Amino acid sequence: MRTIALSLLLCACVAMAAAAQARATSPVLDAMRTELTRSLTTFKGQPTAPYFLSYEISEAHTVNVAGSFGAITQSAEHRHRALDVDLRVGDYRFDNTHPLRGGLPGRAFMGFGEGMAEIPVDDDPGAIRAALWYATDRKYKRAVEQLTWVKTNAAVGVAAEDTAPDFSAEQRETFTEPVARIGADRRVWEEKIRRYTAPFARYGDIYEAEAVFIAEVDSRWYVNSEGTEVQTSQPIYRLYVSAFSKADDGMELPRYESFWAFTPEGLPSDRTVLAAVQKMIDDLHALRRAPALEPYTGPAILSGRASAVFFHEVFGHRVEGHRQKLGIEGQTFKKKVNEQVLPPGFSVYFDPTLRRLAGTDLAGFYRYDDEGVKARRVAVVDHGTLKTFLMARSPIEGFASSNGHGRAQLGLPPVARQSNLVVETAEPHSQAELKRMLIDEIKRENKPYGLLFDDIEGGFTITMRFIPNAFNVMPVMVYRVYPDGREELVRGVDFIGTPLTTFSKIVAADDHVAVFNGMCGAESGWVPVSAVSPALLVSQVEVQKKLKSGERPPILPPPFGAAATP
Amino acid sequence: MRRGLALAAVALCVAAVTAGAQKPTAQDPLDRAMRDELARSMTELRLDTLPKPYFVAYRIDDIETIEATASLGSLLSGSDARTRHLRVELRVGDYDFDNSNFMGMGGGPAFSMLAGLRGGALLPLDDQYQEIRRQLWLASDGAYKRAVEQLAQKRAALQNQTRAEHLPDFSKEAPAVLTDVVPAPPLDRAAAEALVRGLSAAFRAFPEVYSSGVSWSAGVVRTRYLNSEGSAFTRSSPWLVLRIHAATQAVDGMPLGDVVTLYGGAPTDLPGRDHLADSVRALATRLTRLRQTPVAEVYNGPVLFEGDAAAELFNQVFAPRLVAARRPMAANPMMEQFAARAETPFLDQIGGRVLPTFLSAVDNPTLTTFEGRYIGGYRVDDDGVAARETRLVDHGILKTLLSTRVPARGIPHSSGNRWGAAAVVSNLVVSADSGVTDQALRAELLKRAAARGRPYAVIVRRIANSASLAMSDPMEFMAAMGDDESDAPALRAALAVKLFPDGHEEPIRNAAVSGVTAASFKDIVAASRSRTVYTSPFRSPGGMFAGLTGGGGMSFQMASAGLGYAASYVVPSLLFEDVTVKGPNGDLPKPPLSGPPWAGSSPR
Repeated sequence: MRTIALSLLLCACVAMAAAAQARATSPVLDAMRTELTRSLTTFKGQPTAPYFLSYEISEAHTVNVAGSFGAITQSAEHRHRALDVDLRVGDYRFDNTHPLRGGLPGRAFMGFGEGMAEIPVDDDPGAIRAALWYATDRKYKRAVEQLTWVKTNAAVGVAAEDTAPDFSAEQRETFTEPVARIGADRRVWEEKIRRYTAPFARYGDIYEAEAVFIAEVDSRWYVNSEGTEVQTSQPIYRLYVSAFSKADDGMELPRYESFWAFTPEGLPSDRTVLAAVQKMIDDLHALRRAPALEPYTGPAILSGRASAVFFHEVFGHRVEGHRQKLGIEGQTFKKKVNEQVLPPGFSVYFDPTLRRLAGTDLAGFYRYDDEGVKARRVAVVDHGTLKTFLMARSPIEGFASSNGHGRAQLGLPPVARQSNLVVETAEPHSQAELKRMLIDEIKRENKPYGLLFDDIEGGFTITMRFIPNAFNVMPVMVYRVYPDGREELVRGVDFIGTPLTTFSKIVAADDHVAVFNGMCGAESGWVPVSAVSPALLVSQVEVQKKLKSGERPPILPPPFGAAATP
Repeated sequence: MRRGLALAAVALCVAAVTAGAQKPTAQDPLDRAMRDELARSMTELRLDTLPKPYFVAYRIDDIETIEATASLGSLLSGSDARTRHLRVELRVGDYDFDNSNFMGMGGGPAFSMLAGLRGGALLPLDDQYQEIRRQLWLASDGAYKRAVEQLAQKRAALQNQTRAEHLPDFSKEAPAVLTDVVPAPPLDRAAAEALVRGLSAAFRAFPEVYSSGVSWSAGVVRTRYLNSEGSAFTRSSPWLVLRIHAATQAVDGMPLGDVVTLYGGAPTDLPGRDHLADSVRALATRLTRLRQTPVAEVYNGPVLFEGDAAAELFNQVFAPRLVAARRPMAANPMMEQFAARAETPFLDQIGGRVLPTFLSAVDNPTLTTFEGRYIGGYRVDDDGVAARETRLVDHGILKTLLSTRVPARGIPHSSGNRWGAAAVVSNLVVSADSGVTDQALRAELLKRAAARGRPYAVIVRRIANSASLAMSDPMEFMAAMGDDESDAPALRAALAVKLFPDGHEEPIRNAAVSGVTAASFKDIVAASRSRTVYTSPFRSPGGMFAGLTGGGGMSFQMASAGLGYAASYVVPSLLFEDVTVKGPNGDLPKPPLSGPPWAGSSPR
């Protein structure tokens, strides 16, 4: 009770600070600024002086509690800080990070880890500056070496495909919010985790059932030579529940649920979680009895959550700006600006400033990105037409500036990443209408049935950090929809296809918007993202059989009186 | 990546003498769950017409740790954690021929979510009978399925091969019920954080040491073991490691680094706080001076390895050969290449001379201190075999090797040295019949150097352990990954001096020692009467192969808990006749362009 009151108060403070944009004193920012100034003075005397220097210190303060079948398996609290130094020699147009011929990123090639360091968690300016100093020196020497290298490389190669500068100049920003505290009691959560996983324990055919609670305060301090100084601090509370069973033919059948909030009280009540757990148990048992689906092409409905994950994976990653620059990337959309990429009724925007939508906190919310650029809404597709890309400070032809999407996991160099992806439709249909349209499509194409993807497992990648055995992004709850409207649960397929073809097959959307919150992994590490979409009717999807282990269920019955499978 | 670095942390696992040990009670839910599921697995676990297991063992490790690291008086990280790990070892076939000692084609399911196939599971921390039993059931099931598949593959491979030598796969040992429990010292995270903050602050007075830190890792592993032969043990292994590391660059830019590592079972095994602070200052002073020291020139001739250096030399070059590891059967010629590398060359030298006749060596896990100094040890090994002294080298002649229950040529039984997946050196005690005084040893060194026409002789005082260095520096970690396991590894002398005929010493830096192989140990010309007690991370050569080919899974759980293994040594200083010492080749990084920001600031 006390904890909750305290954190409420804290949130009020955060909001006030945000509104006032007050510049509080910050020992970490002070130490960073002092060392940044000293470094620039030192390097000024060198033949090749840096034109840009930035420091980002990120802190993760984490409480996590994990449990399985009603018992605790792990409970820990951890706090650490990491540093990322961006030091550039040359100029904005051509610097040491210039991509190498063959399309490989210059920065990643040499000097991996040079600008990284572990930073003290005590706010001790001397110790913080010592770590900054040594990392900056190493980074500087590497940058000078890199510049010589990329210059030669560019001179002997053919003209670059993308002639955009290497770095964008951005507006100076100052913002400071107080460092938040974790509003969660480990003991309370240990009890909750036991309670949430206990219902699984009655069954002998559920082989893993885990719940993980993670409370994290993600704090960031950013200083650069352009005068930007930003201090942000965001608490996040997450709850994951995962379980798996096996069909008699050996197929693994997983189910996942996740909940996400910026405040502890934003997480669902025990009753809601337990209802979700019961639903997982029922689904797993239903999946065990469900027939395995054969490869199929035909019309399908993707539920809101399934569509959200689909858009994040298939569309979102392809509009990340830096991918348009590197020769090793597919660049599906590079030459498609101002062309139609989606049906005319559809728009897609990314908005990191959205904190909440459809009654849910959005994981991709932030105020400033990891390059000190202010977050903003970016309309990527307007009524079917591609308008722009998600930009960090790495310009591409036609897009000279960042739009606040340079993001990274703590300690890693940022690249363009997604925030909150929102899919909108101009002509929403009701859920019943969409199903009727699916049935019409089935009949028109003379198919025996269509498909309904109720949940795609984006959640699988979420759990990967804690359970090192994730393999696939796959739909878990798939139904056959017959011309008479009957729905039948099936199992064992992956949804495949190529992005442009699949987008051209999108027919309509419903009016039921769903949110998917998750962690997204790419070259700059794991970042929280969100995707929001209505359900979609697609005139043609293709599914293939999913990889399964040939391993049969356990030989012996469970060693306890298990509840009968319903 | 970064996560990988964290996992590289190596710590010591040592146990002390049994004291007021309590027997496991029948009421204990963990013991009950182990007993019940083991009985069921032995009688009922069987697939169609395939054989039942003939041996099942369960081991549960309850691991509690605290860690704290600080730099320049400021905390970098602190943590405490508790986890419980299960490992199942299950064998099908019989003692003579079973599913182990075989490198198959993998062949199991393409992937599996069942824990047993991964060799073990993370167990609940709550002592709930049903949940412990559920995990034992699932892990046994996975282990059994894997074992029958391995056995079938091994039988199939045998149809195309003629075995050159016939060795049983698993030795029969007398069942024993043992207890090796010591009261573990309380794990005080706040005290550890205060200590590392305080000690690391001393580096602030040394602006020429560019990077430094102090870390504390302490914990206890409480193990319960039960096998189908009736063996059982409970064992507690408390450990404590304090590491002080420092790195800088010499005036010419050459990287310099050193680590001082102190081991114990409890805080009382370490020197007092003032003494520790002295060690920090001594390390910082040594490194600061080394910056100005001339780099080593090429030297060929007699070298005296004193104290810690002699012990580390044993640890890196000779001791790994004392562990028996046999060549597993391989499914195809490609694997044969790997399999051949697994065998310890010393297997063929039993009965031959491996040390000078004036030296003998024993391994004794049951020692816990030597001349009042902590060295750690254990009473029962990971196979449930009682630990005992093994006479390895008697007056220069190799008598036997250290072993697990996996027989090797000429070694039919376990010596009680299994720790993790393979056999390890526990406490290696080397004694000299004709040890001379330290003074006489230096005189002998100078005499031999003069005979070779050298103006000076070389004394090596400390040799760097790459595993130890790797923990404090990511760059060192990369270097350690690339370390070859060749016959003559390059050894880095962290501390070496030139000794001149008039008795004065001049330090040298960045010296690499080469030309010392296991074979050259039999040509050691003299040893001291005094002996040094020393502990260091030990890499068992059999570890990787035992993990791949054994009846159980790899002990990855232990690795993921950040636990490694360290061996202890009691050795005299050693004089070698023909060793090469030289400076490094290659380009040098430049020194930093500015001084450290804390130069001149006073320690907190």
